[in-house]
Formats: sequence, C-alpha cells, structure tokens
Amino acid sequence: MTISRDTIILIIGCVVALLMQIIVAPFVSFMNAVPNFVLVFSLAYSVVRPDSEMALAAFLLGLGYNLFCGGVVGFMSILLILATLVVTRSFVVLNNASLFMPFVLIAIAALVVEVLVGICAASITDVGVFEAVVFRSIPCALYDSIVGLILYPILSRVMVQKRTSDPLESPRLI
Amino acid sequence: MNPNKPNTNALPSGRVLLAICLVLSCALVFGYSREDQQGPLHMIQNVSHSLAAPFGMLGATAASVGNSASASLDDLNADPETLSQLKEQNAQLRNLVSQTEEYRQEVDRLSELLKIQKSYHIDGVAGRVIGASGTAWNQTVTIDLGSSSGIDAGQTVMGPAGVIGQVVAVGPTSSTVRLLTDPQSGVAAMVQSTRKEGIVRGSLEGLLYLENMDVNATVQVGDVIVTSGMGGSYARGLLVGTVVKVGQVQGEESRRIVVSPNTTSGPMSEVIVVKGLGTSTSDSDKKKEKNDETQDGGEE
Repeated sequence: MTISRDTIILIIGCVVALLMQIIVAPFVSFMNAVPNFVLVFSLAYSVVRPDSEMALAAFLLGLGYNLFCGGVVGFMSILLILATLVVTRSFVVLNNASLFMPFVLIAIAALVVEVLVGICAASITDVGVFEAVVFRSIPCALYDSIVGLILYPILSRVMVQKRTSDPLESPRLI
Repeated sequence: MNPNKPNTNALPSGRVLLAICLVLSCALVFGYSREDQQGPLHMIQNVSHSLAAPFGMLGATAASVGNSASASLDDLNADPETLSQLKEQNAQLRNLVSQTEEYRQEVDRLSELLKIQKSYHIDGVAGRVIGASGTAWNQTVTIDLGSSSGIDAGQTVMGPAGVIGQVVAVGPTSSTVRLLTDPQSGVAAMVQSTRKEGIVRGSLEGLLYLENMDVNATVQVGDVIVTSGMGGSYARGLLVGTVVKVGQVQGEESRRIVVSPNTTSGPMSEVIVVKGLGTSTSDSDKKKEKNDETQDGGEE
C-alpha cells in the first residue's frame, strides 16, 4: 500500500506537534497561558486539507496529549475529533480563498475547545467556571491563535507544492 | 475521484471511522473517570509520563540554560545602588543566621538535658526537576526520582527553602509533583507565631491563599506559614511561605490572605522528597510518661 505525501506530512506533523507539546510548551508559557500545539496543528491541517480524514489522527493526537501531558484520557480526543469535523465543514462552506477565514475558524475553534476544557477542569476542582474561562481559557485560546497564525501559512506552503503540480486545481493561497 | 484524497482503502470509510473514534474516546473518558488511581488507564498514563520524562528533560535543560543566561545578564546590568542594598541585606542575613545557630545549639543542649528527641530531622532523597506540565490546567513538575528510589505517592517535596508540593503519581524512574500553586492543591498549615491553623490552597492566578482560618485569628503581613501536619498529608513544621497581603478586616467572615511561597521550582532545580521526619516526643507526652512511671513505682 502506497502512502501518499499528505499522509506522510500528517504523520510527521502529528509527531512534531506532540513532541513540541512535551518539550517546548511547558517552557514557553506566558502569564500562565500554555500553547496547545496539538490542537493548533489539528485545526490548521483540517483547514489546509478539508477533504482529508482527520478522525483517526485527531483521536491519536488527543490520546497522546492526555497520556503524555495529563488530563482525562480520551477527553482531548473527543474535542479534537469534533473540532476538526466542524472546522472542516465550516471551511468548505465559508472559504473565500483568502487568509482571513482560516485564521478566524482556527481562532474560534481554539476558543471553543479551551473553554470546554476550562469548564471540565472547573467541574472537577473547586475553581469557578468564570475564573477558569477568564484566567486560563481565553489566554490559552489567544496564544493558540497566535501559534495558528504562524503555523497555517507554513503548512499551506508545504501542502501547496502538491497542488501546483495538479493543473486541474488552482492554488489556495493568493 | 479526488486525486488529493489520501488512500484510505485499508481503513473503514470516513463516517464509520469517525463514529468508532468517538465511541472509543467516550469509552476511555468513562473508564478513566470511574477507576481509581491504581486503575489500568491511570497506570498507562503514569508509564507514559515516565516515557516522556527524558524528552521533557531536553526542554528543562534548555530552559535552565536560558534562565542562567538571563540571570547573568541581569547581574551585569545591576546598578551600584542595588548591589549595595544586596550586600547590606547579605550582612544582616549572616548576622541572623549566626544568632539562629546559637539558638539551635542551645535547643540541642536543652533537648539533650531533657531527653527530648529531635523532631525536625528530615529523611529524604535528593533529585532534580526534569520537566513541567504541558497543559495550562495542571501546575505540576516531573522529578527524576521514581519507585526505584523508594518514592511513594503522597510524599512531601521540598525545594531549597521550603515546601513546593506533593508527589501525586509515581513511575519507575520519575514522578509527578503537584505544586502548591495548583488549584487542586491544599496544605494544612498554621501561622508560626500564633499557631492558628488553616489551609493553604493554590489558585488559577498562581497565588496561594490561606483559608478556613478562625475569623478572629490575628494574621499580619510578614507572618510565616508552616505546615501543621494535620491530616497527615504533609509533614509538620515545614516552611510554606510568608503572608504578603490580608484583605478585609479581622472579625469579618470573608478574608483573603495571600501567601507568597518561600521557594519555587525551576527547570533542573534540586528538590528533596521527604520520606519521613525523625520521631518526636513532645513535652506533654514526656511528662505523662514520667507521671505514669512515678505512679507505677508508688503502687509497687
């Protein structure tokens, strides 16, 4: 069975995202906001390749995140699967061939995921939901959006190489 | 057929795969929530943490180098007035240490005279911080000591100048320590001067709050907070921090007492896992024993 270039990039991206989450993320936190590289990569890849099957990758990435970084095992998998599904469907409908819509989708999806994680964290501790959202979810979502702002163009550039070789498809980036 | 679509002939179709993954995830969440700390999923998570520890150490090492470089740069740019103040403070602290050493020696002599065993001998294992939590919701660090070094969950972990947290998960060669600043952390503590007890809890803001204090208890800025040993989760008498802010007025129900931890844990910093403290016999127990012996001798 031949493995396509997209799949190879997906696998490498997943491994790199997970490694960065373990090695880099704890030490690049800013005002208690820790970036979620796993989440950002999943969302960015879903936007770059809305026709790809991200379910398995999202499941494995989320599982790896919970096993190596903590949290309820399986919870991040659920969030990533649903987030990538929604982002993929939304992008197909809202795509206007500009950079604005992917960034907006990534930012909104990151915010929703971080708020859901915050609500879950508040439910199992004595922390209030408002505190969890204000002091953690929103700063983390902002951080994720900034990382997405950097990652999406890079991923698009890496993936668009294949697209330009296909005369039937026009490049996504202007 | 879309040429960009990856070859998934070996996998179930998209919707089926999506459903399988969702069901599996839900099952994992359900299983993890229902089981205790010794359950299979928790054990797999602990082992995964141990496997990830060497990778985390790479980041810790790099962060440690960065912190050292930053500190060196700050030292180079320190103005003469700051240096003078630091020198003066250093001299005062040396004087204080010398006085404290005198008091300690006096206590040793008196303890010897009264046959009271020392109650502050720490039996512990030294290690290093080799990683930190990769999520924003857990204030935890990873240390390079595990079950092979005799570490158990629930043991107190101390930094150079006080308590930093408690071991919550143990792997073969590494352990996870929940820091005092974690929102799920709670330490039975007391004000050293007045012996009034309360609980020091962490928060999302990263601050420590002293709660559950008697509403009429006197607490002032500068008061030293130590562990009280109540509940058995933390050893007694270990330094936690210093009160830096007292909100509201004494006598009112709601009072926000902010405690600054005396020590923090940086990447590659040294820590001690407290396995136990030396046995102690308090004055009252000793007198009771003497009274019992006297009564037994009288009866005979």
